Amino acid sequence: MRISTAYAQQLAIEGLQERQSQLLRAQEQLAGGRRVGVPSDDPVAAAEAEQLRSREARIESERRAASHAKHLLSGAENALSDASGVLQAARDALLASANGSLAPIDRAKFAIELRGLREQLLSVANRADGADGYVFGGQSASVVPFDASGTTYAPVGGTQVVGVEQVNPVRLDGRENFSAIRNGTGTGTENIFVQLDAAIAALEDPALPQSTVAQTTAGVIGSIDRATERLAQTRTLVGERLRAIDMHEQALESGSIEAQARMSELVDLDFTRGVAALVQHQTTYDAALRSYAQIARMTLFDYV
Amino acid sequence: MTDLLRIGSSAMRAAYAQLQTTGQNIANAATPGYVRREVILEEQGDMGAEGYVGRGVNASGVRRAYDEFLTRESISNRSVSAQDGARGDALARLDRLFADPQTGLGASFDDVVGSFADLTTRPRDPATRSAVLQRIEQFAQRAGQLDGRILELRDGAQARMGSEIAKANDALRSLAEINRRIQDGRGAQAASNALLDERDRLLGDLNTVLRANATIGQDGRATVYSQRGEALVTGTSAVRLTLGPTDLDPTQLGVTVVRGNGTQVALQSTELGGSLSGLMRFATQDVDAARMRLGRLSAAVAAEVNAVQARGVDADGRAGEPLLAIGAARVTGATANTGAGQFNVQIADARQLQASDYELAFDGVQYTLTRLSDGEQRQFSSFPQDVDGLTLTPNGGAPAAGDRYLVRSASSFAAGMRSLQSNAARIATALPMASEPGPTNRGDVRIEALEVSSYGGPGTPPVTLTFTSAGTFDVSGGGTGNPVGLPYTPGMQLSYNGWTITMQGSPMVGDTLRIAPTQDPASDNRNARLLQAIGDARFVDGATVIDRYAELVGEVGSRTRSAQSSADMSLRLYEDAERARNEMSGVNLDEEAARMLQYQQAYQAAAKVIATANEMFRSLLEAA
Repeated sequence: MRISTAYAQQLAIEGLQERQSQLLRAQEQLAGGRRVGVPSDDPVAAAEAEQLRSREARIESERRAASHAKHLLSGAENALSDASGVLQAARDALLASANGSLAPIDRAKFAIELRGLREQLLSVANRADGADGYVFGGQSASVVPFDASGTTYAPVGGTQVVGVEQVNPVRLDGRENFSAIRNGTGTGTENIFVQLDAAIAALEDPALPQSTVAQTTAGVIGSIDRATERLAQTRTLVGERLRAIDMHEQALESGSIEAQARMSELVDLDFTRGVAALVQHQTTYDAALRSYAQIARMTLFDYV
Repeated sequence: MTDLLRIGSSAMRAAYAQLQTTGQNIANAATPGYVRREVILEEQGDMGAEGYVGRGVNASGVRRAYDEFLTRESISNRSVSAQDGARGDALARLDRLFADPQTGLGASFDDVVGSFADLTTRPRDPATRSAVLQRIEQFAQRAGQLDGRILELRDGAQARMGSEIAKANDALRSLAEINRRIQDGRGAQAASNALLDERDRLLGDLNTVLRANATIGQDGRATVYSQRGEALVTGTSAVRLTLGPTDLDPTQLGVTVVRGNGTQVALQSTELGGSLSGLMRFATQDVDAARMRLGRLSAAVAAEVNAVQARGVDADGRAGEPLLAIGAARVTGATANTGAGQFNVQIADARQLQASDYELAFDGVQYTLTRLSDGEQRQFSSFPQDVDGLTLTPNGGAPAAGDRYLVRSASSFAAGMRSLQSNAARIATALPMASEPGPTNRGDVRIEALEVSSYGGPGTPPVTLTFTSAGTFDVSGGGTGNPVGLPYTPGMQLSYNGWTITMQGSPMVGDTLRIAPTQDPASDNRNARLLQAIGDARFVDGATVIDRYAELVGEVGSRTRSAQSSADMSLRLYEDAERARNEMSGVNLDEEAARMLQYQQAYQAAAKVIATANEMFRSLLEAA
């Protein structure tokens, strides 16, 4: 078999170039840490990697929504707790005012205390949530929920929700917690502000006999108890929701880790293999260079 | 004695010719297309006085170490390799456009979805709203840029087609010139060998551009044919190849053969072979497949975002305006059309769009619409015609039989994609109407769904439903006519003032439901949630945006991979064939060195023969 010297040279040079480009590619993969650099490296992996990347983006959005809900619901939990505290203080004041021996001037002192507590309660009901809205803002956000009388609820009732995989409320309905609490008979609703106003009016009226005042305050204490119960129920719901969010966040975290792991499996370089490949390419390139240098030098003309 | 001298000198001449040939072989060892030469030796026979002795040797000619089969094999494999290589190289560039998932169109779309998600948590925040517009603008730009980059690759392939054509024309002219020299000359044998080498080299060069075969006539002239039998070189004349816009789609270039008499014949990609075939296939099929998918994706996203936007109201309570625009689809007539008919195309339902353009052909009676991606055809004779989410309508004029049109649908969308809004207040985060149960309700009757088909603005009158029993309700409010005693069943629907509600649950006497325009649209996040839902909705011909984009990435990857492995394989085949040809025709320097020694010895031996004859002659003279 005849070997064409020029063609053999050309093939040898092409072979060297190919080995050099393989070596460079192995080096690039190691430097970049990626096995799949362009889709054609592994089309199926590239397509799946695109979906995993998207899944991670969704997880990140969901995580932000969950964190937002958690932040607002924690604020709501505090507000509910504060409102319960105010109601407890109001209840204590009313119980103290029910002492039969009190003169009208003493009743008026309790009225002043109650007035302050009512203001506190209203400010809790109208508390801003730090996210352009109000804790008890219902479906709307930017409208101050209650007027000074506490009888007009401006927002649309209901709640605003966020999140896709887990839908979480971020605002509470002010009506069911303050202005429309189911009453003692269960057939209607009552407004805690109106009830407090009634107690204040009774305590402030020196003309009323103590028995009438006691009757009124007893009724209002019943309302306060129902309102406290209502707030406690809402707090339980919020607490459960916060726990659910914690679990969801954990699930998102592991989902994200899974997606990253799979992504890494698909497109990242196995470094052990990468280094082995580099060394192998290095060795073959070196061998090719050496053998070429030796063989190319050999020619019969040296001996003629 | 003179006999011996003659034998000696013929041997010297022969050895000298062989040494010359070896020298020539060594000199041309690296010359492209050079075929190794060998001297043909013949014995000069003659009867002498003592019977048969012979009169020496005759170098009767110089032969090319040539094998026709091996040469043809090498040339045809070279053509296939050039075809696969050209397409593989071009696809590798396309492949690189989709290399980084983190900066791709899919990531850009997810940025948009992520900004919608943030919008649901802070609909009123101006920074959050602005971020949405920025993301949308980036997405639109990226889609347009990606389309532009793909088109640049097509331009590059077309430019290369131009230089390849020039190369082919040079080769064709030179082949005709060689025919002329063969016809005129009958030059020296060596010159003729050089011409034959040159002809094979030119045929090889020609075949890298397009597949061509040569047949050699009795007179030694070559006739060159294209793959489909079109004569490219006949006698001393060669056709000219030109590259020009195709009839149906002037943005695509086709190859035309211009014959000596001026007539023109178009050659299809499949009839060409060589790099032209590979480049044409890339410029049409590969580029189109990617662009059409990109176009469909762009159109579907724009339509979906705009549709959700239209169902909502913006921060100022106005009906949502479109956020995204795409390039308009259009119908263009072929340049050869003789009729005046024109047509329009519009998107009827972007969710049904296919990743393809269409060809519309009129035969005088019927229209045939061919989907270019898969060749599926449908025939009809009337308009408007709905197909794959598009509506075709005539736009004046009458087509003539044989007229053809290109429906540029999917190829048009991505290029013109742009964002339409710069005012962040225009994002429709809110739904126009809101419902709430009465604050004193005791039953659990509620509004499950509230659809608004036509929004009358913030002045739309509120409507209240009051339940008069567990099974009846009264309606009060503007636009209702205040009907009383309507029967209630769970799941029932009710429509007034452009909205429709679906009610669920059991009411108690005195319960109310209220439907009113959203009072604080800037803070309402309900439509923002619907915008967010676009992220995972299956509206791109039944799949999500990311599914379709991943499909596009995978498809480009597979095309490139299979083209590259074809290219690798055909390169190996070409190398094998070329090696076989070289084993026959190539020059091995060691062999030539050995031959040089051999011929040198032969020359010295011949010289010795002459010297011997001379000595013998002198001995004879001295003896006399």
